[in-house]
Amino acid sequence: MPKSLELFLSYVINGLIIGNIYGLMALGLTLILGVMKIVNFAHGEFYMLGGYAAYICSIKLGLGPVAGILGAIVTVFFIGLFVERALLTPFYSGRLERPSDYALLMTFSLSVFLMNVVIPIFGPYQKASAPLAEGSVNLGIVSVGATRVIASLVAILLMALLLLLLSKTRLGIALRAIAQDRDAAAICGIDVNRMNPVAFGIGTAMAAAAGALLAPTFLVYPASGSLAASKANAILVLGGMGSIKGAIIGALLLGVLESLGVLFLSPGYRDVYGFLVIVLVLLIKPTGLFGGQEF
Amino acid sequence: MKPRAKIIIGLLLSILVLSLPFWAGVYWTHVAILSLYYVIVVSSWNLLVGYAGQMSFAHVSFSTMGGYASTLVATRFGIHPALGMLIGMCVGAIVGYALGILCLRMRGVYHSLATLAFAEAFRTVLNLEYKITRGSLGLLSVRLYPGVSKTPYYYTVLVLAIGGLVVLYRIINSPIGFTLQAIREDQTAASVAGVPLARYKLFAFSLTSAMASLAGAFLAHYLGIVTPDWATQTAMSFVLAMAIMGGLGTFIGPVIGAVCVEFLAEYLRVYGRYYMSIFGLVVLLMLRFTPGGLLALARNLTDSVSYTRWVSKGKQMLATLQVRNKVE
Repeated sequence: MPKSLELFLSYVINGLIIGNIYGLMALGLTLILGVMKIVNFAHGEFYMLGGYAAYICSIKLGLGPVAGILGAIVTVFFIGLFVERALLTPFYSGRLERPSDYALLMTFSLSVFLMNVVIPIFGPYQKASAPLAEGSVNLGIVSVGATRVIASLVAILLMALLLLLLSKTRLGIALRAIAQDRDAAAICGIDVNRMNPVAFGIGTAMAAAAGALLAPTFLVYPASGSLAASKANAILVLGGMGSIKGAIIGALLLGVLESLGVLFLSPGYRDVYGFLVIVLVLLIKPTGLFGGQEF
Repeated sequence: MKPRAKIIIGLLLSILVLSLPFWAGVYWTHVAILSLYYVIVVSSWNLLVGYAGQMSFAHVSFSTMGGYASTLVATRFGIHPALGMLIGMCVGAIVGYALGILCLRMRGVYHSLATLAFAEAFRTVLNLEYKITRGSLGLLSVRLYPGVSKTPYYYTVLVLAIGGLVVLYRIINSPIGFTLQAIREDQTAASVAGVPLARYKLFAFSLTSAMASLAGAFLAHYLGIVTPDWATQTAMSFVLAMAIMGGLGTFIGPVIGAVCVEFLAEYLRVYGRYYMSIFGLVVLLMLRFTPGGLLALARNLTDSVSYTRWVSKGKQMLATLQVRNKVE
């Protein structure tokens, strides 16, 4: 195999590996968008909280990396549940004229609050949680850090679990029904208002899982969430808002595009490519790749 | 309130504002300059979001852009800062127009996502292009006036703020303002009624971006520095808090909000590293409990206190009941 092709493929593989974890983020965001019809601007901060939860469980309490990830998922699920109940549900009680605008502003303010509240608690420095594995894995063309490969596999597993939940269980079917038509779902006897916190909790837990999985390699610090969030947002536009298939494929695509952007354009601008993707999608196909398809 | 009382209060207030640098001291004059800067930024954001309904998280990016553009032309080409501020304003208007074109194709959450992505990308570029912007160190700027006195700056920003508010007031109370509100309430209906959506939205975008850029350019020449920190989400949350505290979609609300929040922020500064978290908490609680802002809160309070209004409401209800009984 020629050297340049090898290089190209190794960047693609790296992109796919990171893309799976982006997918976890984007899937959570898509679930929240589908059920609640808002973009959770604090998604990146739940990712950051997940990283910190993993750090506390695995390093401070010394329970090991697996407990770190589980701890992150469970803790942030309950935080998400609480946040939705306390801050977002009240907007939908019918007193406000444009509740979704205020809900957007609320998630934005929440993001700024969470970003700043962890500074006095954990300090401004970068923290790493316990790595999942030592050494690296040889994938034929390229050898990748074992932690990243395992993180990617865990991300696939979690995405599969969520898809299973959405397609097979009563809860998942209820969530999908609400995403399709809120009023019709309510008429069929689904308690719509009780589903909002559940969707928000699950969605934020997915972000936390992504944060916990990346905490050993990309480190966690107070502002670490905003980068992850901007990627998840780009995926949301790329995949077509609210489409689950779009979120997963969009995530893999963005991972590869970024990786190739680093190879061909400039590594410094890695995090601007997300915006370029949004611009291009809007100019060429404003509905996204899978826009308008069923949730 | 009686008209005479209104005039007296207005007079007292304007004397207070006009003479501020002479009795307030250097520090509070500085705070007043910052709050007038925020009055411009927040009021223009309010036109875009509160009146036209085009949610944007990129507003502070425009004020930062104005600051950088003005500083760059002033330091590189030796142009007078006042002219630089005009150039900064034009740059803001043009980029705002371009972002507006981009956002035309999207509605609701998509729209806010695109503006947020733009803001983040802009900040990243500022940080990375260190040859031009000196990255996170910030760019040193030329001061607008010689000397250390803050008084000329105060009057400059006062003129800018009053000028901006007059422009906004005239627009809001003109057919353009009503059309923008129609677009906010129902885009499709407005379009059916013959409103050229694109033209109005682009107008709102470029006008508000131009105002923010002008304010940002002024601030850069006042502080003598402009940094990428101006364009962070935290900075945007300040603008948001001010608009919400005053009352989104009201003319005077954001003005009151800007002044109140800026002074509140100065008082909270004593908490040091807890400062931003306390501020964030205040914003969250405010959004949660008084989403309509101080104006709505005041209105609700007077509503529940006002006895005569209750009586007239009761009479109205009685009358409708009687009519209904007669019909039946």
